[in-house]
Amino acid sequence: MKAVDKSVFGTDGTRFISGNILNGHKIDNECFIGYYDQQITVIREGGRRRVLGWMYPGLKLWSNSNTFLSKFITRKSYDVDTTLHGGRRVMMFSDAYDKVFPMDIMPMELLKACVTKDIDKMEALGIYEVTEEDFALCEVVCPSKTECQQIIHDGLTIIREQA
Amino acid sequence: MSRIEKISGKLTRKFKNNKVLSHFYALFDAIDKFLLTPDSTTLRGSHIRDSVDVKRLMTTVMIALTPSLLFGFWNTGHQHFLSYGTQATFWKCFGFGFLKWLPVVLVTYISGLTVEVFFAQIRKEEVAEGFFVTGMLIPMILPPEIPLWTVAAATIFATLFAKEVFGGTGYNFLNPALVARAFIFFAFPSVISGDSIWIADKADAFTGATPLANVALGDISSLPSVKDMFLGTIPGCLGETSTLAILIGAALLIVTDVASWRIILSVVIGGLAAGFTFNLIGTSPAMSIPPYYHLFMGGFMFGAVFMATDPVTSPHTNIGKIIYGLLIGILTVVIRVCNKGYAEGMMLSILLMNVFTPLIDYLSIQYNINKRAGRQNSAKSNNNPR
Amino acid sequence: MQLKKYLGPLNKENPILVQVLGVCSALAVTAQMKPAVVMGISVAVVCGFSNLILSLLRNTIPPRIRIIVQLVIVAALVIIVDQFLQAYFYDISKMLSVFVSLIITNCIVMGRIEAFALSHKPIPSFIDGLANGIGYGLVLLIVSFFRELLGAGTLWNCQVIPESFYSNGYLNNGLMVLPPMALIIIGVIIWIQRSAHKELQEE
Repeated sequence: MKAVDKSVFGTDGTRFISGNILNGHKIDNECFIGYYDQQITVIREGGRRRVLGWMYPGLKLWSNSNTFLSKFITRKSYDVDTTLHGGRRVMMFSDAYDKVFPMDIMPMELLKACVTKDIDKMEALGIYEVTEEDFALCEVVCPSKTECQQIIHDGLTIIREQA
Repeated sequence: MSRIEKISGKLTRKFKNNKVLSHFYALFDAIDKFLLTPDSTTLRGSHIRDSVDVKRLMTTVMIALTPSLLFGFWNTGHQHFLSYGTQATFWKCFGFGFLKWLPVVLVTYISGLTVEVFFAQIRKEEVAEGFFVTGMLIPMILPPEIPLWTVAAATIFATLFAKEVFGGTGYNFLNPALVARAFIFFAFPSVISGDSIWIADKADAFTGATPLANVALGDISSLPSVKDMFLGTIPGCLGETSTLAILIGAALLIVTDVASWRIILSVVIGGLAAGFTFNLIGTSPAMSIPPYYHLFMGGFMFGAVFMATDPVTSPHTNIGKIIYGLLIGILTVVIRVCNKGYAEGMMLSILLMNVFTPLIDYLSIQYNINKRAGRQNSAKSNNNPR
Repeated sequence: MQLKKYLGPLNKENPILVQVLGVCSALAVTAQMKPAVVMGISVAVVCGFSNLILSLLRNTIPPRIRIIVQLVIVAALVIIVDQFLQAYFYDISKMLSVFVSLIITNCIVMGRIEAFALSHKPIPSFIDGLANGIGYGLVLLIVSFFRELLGAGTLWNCQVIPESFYSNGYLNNGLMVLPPMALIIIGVIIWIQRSAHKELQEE
């Protein structure tokens, strides 16, 4: 692992992930991979700060929204790292979720029902049809940086305890 | 790490640990996150995230507001010099307007941000960016001669009672800019209605009536030409005169998908439909205004593009957005026609529909729940064939 | 007889702020201070004496006609208060117009009768009714202070805001004269009270 670290990224920080990039867990460079995982992902640690970064037109930044110029110019590959790109905010923008969520469920309403621990509403909105991985894409595109997978996980735990 | 990152890191540690300075941490954090992008990395869940954040979305709205803002600066100066009958160059008009509006913008931002930073400090959260857009919207819906202390009082009232009391940005149930204007309208009606306030420092002999004021007098024939109303060279509030500038902003918002085109389109269609229906009834002069005139008069397009599309106070589902937009358009034209030329038609109808948004959302959610229950029932009956 | 117990309705068990009774009349009469104070005193008198009388009668009223007896007694007291005001304070009675007669519908009066007077001795009931009325009057005083000061520039009908403010562009806040602002002021008072007394905050 140490050899991989130095050779690929030089002296920048690296993150080793056991599993895939959307829901794997972080491991050290001297650890074993998880029992259920069958891949390792290696990605650069982010966290570099840019001056007035929110004003950049963003030709090289990857985004699913239309607010960066990169969406209108097709590129073969983008450089992504683990930067959060913003602080945690209130869930405001529901159309970002609807674009990436395939099932006939209202993702924002289900998340809000899980946060308020409203079991009847969770069941009515379809918590039995989802698992955390389904919300991984929602978590990636969320502008408010909500931790959707954790919220669904807590919701499912409550449902499980209820039974 | 570059030098500026090191300085920022040192200051952050100082503000967090020092006893006196920790009371101002929210203010420092807001300025710090304004100048530099934050350095937090993902902890749980997905390891990569989209580059967009709420700041970026708000910035897009600010950019979309800029054409109306710049035109409004020029128009304020233009109307002023027109009232005196003097010729003025482009830059003289622009400079006059800019100097007239700069104190208003500063007062809005300072008073609103004070309240926001105070509450962010008490709640120990970051200052949310929602206020940057609200602070720009409030001057754009006010007339030029507004006294500064009323602006400050209205901004503090709106930020406090329409936003912070309910939990801050994202929890408000009414549009804060419209609440500020409603406060001024009901508390100090003389500074926001009437004929003499729409032109800055106007000469006494000039009548400065807006198109809606002409309608109020029943004087349809002296409405400005459609070209004037579309370009915006008429008296009025800072941002709402020029339909052209608003449409440029709307194009940007629709391309970047920050504002929903469904809401804008349905407000326009609702307004046109109601105007057309009134033409058919046609009993008073106000009812016989051609429907497309309503789009250019008063704050119709500004409200449709920037106020009605606020993501927090508009419904979440597509059908809900269409119903919401249609009702806003219809209500605005009804208020304007039945209450001759009442200038606050758009503001009041948007505020009313904001109150109805939870109901529209509830109906959409119930529809989804019933559909799922129907699927489950039919699945059960399919699994148990008789 | 513990006097401290009866100070409850003035602060921590205030009828308007904590029990949330009697808010409607608080919105209507607080546009100026004079009618608000007179209304507060009237409610205190009616509440105290109705508590006293009903506590004296509490063992003799048959349960089935309990509400009717309460209504008759409170109505009689309200009529007496109304006639007194019309005789000696005619101009204020004109301002209060129908709200003095509506004291009978004020939830504080019937609420305290049911909750306290029918199960306690006369003298404590009298003091409890009086204390609740005074608590109500205090809130009315605070609300009408702000509404009159900001809405008309006067306090107790004396011009407080000097003319120089008006000539420099100060305007009276027209929204303060309308009832919604009274509700917002009551909300702010509840906010301040609950921040100061953590035990009043519900979960």
